[in-house]
Amino acid sequence: MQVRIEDPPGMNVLGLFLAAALRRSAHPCALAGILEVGAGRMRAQVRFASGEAVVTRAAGPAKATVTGSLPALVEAIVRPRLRALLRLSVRGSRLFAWRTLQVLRP
Amino acid sequence: MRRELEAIFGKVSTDVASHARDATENPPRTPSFVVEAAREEQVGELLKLASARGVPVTPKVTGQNIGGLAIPAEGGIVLDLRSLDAVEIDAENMVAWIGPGVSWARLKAAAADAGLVLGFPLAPPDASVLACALMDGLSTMALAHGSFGDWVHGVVAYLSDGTRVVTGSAAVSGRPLSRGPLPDLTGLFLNWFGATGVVVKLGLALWPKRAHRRREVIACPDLASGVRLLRAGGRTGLFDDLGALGWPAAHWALGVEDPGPRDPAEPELYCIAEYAADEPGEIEQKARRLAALAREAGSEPPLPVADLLALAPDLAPFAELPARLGFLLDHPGGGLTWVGTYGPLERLEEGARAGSALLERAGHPPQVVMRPMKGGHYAVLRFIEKFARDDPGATERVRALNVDVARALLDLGFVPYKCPEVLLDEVLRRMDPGFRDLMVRIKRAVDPTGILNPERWRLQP
Repeated sequence: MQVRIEDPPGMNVLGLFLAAALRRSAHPCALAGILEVGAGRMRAQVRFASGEAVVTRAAGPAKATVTGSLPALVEAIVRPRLRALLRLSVRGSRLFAWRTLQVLRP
Repeated sequence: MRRELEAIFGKVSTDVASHARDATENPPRTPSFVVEAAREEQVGELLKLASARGVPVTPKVTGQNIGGLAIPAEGGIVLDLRSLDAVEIDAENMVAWIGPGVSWARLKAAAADAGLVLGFPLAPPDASVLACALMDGLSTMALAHGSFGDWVHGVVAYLSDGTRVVTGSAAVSGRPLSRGPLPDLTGLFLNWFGATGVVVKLGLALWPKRAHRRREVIACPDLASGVRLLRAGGRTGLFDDLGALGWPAAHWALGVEDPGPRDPAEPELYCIAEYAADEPGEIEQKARRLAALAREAGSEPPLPVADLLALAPDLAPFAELPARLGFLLDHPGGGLTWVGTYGPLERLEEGARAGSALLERAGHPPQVVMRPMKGGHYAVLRFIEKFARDDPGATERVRALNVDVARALLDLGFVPYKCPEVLLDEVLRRMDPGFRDLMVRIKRAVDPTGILNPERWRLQP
């Protein structure tokens, strides 16, 4: 998967984490749509299209939004157990959110 | 001179240019000779010769002090001590006798074999432990045990006339178990940067390895909450380390060379806590206390560094020290410098704001490093800048910036450590005259010919 960050100097650390996770992801990705992620007060979006992921601060309306504290988000990605997932709040398509978290998983 | 040096060392290196400067903005100077000691006796022989000829000698190991402290005197001799790399560990008394060439990686391995541990600075694995200890650097155990100067139990050093001196308890017993109970002459070699003698062996305290050790990161929304956490956590006696890094470091480590401006929603500071315990219950208790402190400070809950690393492997240098921080050392501009200070914990926030503002005004990301030291008795406050080393304009600008930062911090009671040449005027101007005079008198007593690293502290008559 091609991963690109829009405006790297202005990207927050959440977007940089997401880009790093996507770059080393070994999971196949056929996603399309925008995932918005919130960690603490930070927000970043990942726009999936045609095998490419673009990490931005704001790309447009999200298909799903996942929010939580940074530790909760990281734990849900790294160790996606029920306890970790319950610490996150999901709006929009839960299926899309779940599939993108799987792509981010190490 | 060359022939006499060859008689002592066997050979004299012709590679003088590579010793003329380091990564910093401190002025370069080219030595005439570079020699490498293979036996400690050669150090005494060299100093006797150099004294007789009036030729300056600068001891050096890997030269990675980020303060220009191993930049030699023009036309002098660089004494490379890398090959003096013996390690002897006294496991029972938790102390190591180390030579200058012993690296962090090597001592870590030797200590581990003896069931012991030590803390690490943000230095590459190949850097010299002895040099860092003599320069009173700090580590990931500095909150629990103070700066490295506090860990030194004695030294073996050569004075400028070739006299060999042993300090600390080892002066009587041969074993470096303590600085006392004799007069503490070990201090004659700490923070003098080789201006009083060349240390060839140092007794360094090590610590017991605990069964459980954790390293966690806490995202602090702003400087105020971060400093609250450092101040409250610093005096609990629970943690080996509680260090804070400004937001740019994570961006650099994740591949963004020139980060900023910061997203206002992004945490301004990341605190890294390291703690250890022998019992599972004890480590869980410390974990709960850390989480409570973070909450009370208005920060996010602690996050295991290992989890972060699983997500972003580029952050590996922060997980396991010693590590080479490539994002600081290998960037395109090649220049790296800092103003590092020790000072009052209660002025930390004010100092962090003042220094950050100066860095931002000069176009640098506000890379701050802070930590409470020695149970919270004082704090480290440091600002790091990368710059284009081969650009004279950039070098001059960063030099001026560092002087401004040092002035601002000195005004708040912070004192530069590993004091680089470019900050000396500011420090000397504020120094107690009696202290300064005593330094000069000590220098004259132990180095009457003034050959020992004469650019340091400007102690020449």
